[in-house]
Amino acid sequence: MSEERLHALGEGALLIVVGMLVVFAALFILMVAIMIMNRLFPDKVKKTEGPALAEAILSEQSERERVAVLAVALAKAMEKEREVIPEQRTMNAVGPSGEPSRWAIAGRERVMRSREKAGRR
Amino acid sequence: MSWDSLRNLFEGFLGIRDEWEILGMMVIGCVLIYLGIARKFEPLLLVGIGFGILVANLPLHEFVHIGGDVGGEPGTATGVLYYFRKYLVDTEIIPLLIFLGLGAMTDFEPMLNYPYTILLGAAAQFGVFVALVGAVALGFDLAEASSIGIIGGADGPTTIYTATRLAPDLLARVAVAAYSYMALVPVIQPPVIRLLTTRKERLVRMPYAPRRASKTAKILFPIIVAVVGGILVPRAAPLIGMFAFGNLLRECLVVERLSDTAQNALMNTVVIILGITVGSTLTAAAFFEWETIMIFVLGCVAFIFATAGGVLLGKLMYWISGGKVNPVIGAAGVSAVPMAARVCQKEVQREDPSNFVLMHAMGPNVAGVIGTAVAAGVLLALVPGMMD
Repeated sequence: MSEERLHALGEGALLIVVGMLVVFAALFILMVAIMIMNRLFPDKVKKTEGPALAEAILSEQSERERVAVLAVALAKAMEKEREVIPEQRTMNAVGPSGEPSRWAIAGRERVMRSREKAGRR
Repeated sequence: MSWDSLRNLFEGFLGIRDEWEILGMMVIGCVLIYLGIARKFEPLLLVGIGFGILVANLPLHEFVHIGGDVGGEPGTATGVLYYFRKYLVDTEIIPLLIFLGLGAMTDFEPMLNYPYTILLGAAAQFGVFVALVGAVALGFDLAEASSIGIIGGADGPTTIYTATRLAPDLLARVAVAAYSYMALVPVIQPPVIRLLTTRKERLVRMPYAPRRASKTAKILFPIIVAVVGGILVPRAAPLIGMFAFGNLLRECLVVERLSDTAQNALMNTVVIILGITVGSTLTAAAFFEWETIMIFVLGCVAFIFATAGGVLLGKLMYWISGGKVNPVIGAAGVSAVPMAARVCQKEVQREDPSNFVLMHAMGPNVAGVIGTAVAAGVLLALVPGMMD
């Protein structure tokens, strides 16, 4: 290998070192600048996070209590309905002697008439 | 009507007879068009470059004509693509406008959320300098070697900017090599990543908790980039400055029309012109030389070492952080945005489909753009003095 090329290779090696150092230095400076900016100018959501978070927790608690009360009331209402419906069913669907009630017969006739019409079509 | 004038009807065929190499170039142009359209490898660039190669190598070279055979005096040059090159590419207007558009399209939030990822963008510039030394070893001078080495930055405009200033004769080949390898990032990077990382490292999860950089930080950042870059590497100030300006247009939120134009209309226009112009510079005379093959080989070497540099620093971060940093994201320091970041995501998902590192990889990916511009600035500052 000629002296000229060796010299050029030496300069190339120097360029690797200097070049990488400068690139790292530039991007390191930017990295530090970003870290400083993130501290100096945090996002507004984060700034108000403290008091807002406490408020949110409190309102969440009262919300939960409301939901619990509603759930209990609903459960009790549904229990009453279940007691009523079986009585209605025994009253409406089947007569005291066990034959179908008038309502049930009328309902079945209506369904059959609608099926006849469909058949004719 | 004489026989000579009738011959002009067949001058296309006579041109091929006189310059048969242009058929080879037309095939190469068609291959690039195929890669862009059918395989969807960087279609925005390869379709234009491929078509530019195709039309510039048609008989009689009407698109880019240098010489006096058809009108004009000997030594004059004509052709629409010649004028594009002379007045838009050689004057650096097009590369700088592309950087303006790139800045307007770049979201620095992942990098602002995780600032340490910037250093991975710096490490990936290792490929630039390794390819430079390789080029010197193969007999290129420092200026040519710098233009070849900058291919490793995976940044087309920076490559064109550097080659225009240091080695204009190599512009065509290094530009085509740079854009071709950018399109091949999904092919080049995965083997390097797998070679340098273990399965355990690739399985590292990095939960992304977006911390939302403040609006003030997002506005100040491009200004700081322009000032720091302009002071440290003034030769690259046009590149870094235009990039920062584009980003400022995006982040200030008071010039949305301008930001929209920079990201869309302007970017599309300059990419069309750049693609076809860069392709048109690759003629048969320039291509079929040993130098061209060496440039393409060195370009591949540059990409490989750039990926390796980023991954190795990623491994160091993995070790320092006690296993919290997935070293694969270092490969995204190669500034083919966002292709390199997607490659990292894909490699990680090969091991664990539920692992997502894409947002972490975007940090080094965008940092790499700044890193490549800084590397170009170093070369532009040092190499002319070293050549004297």
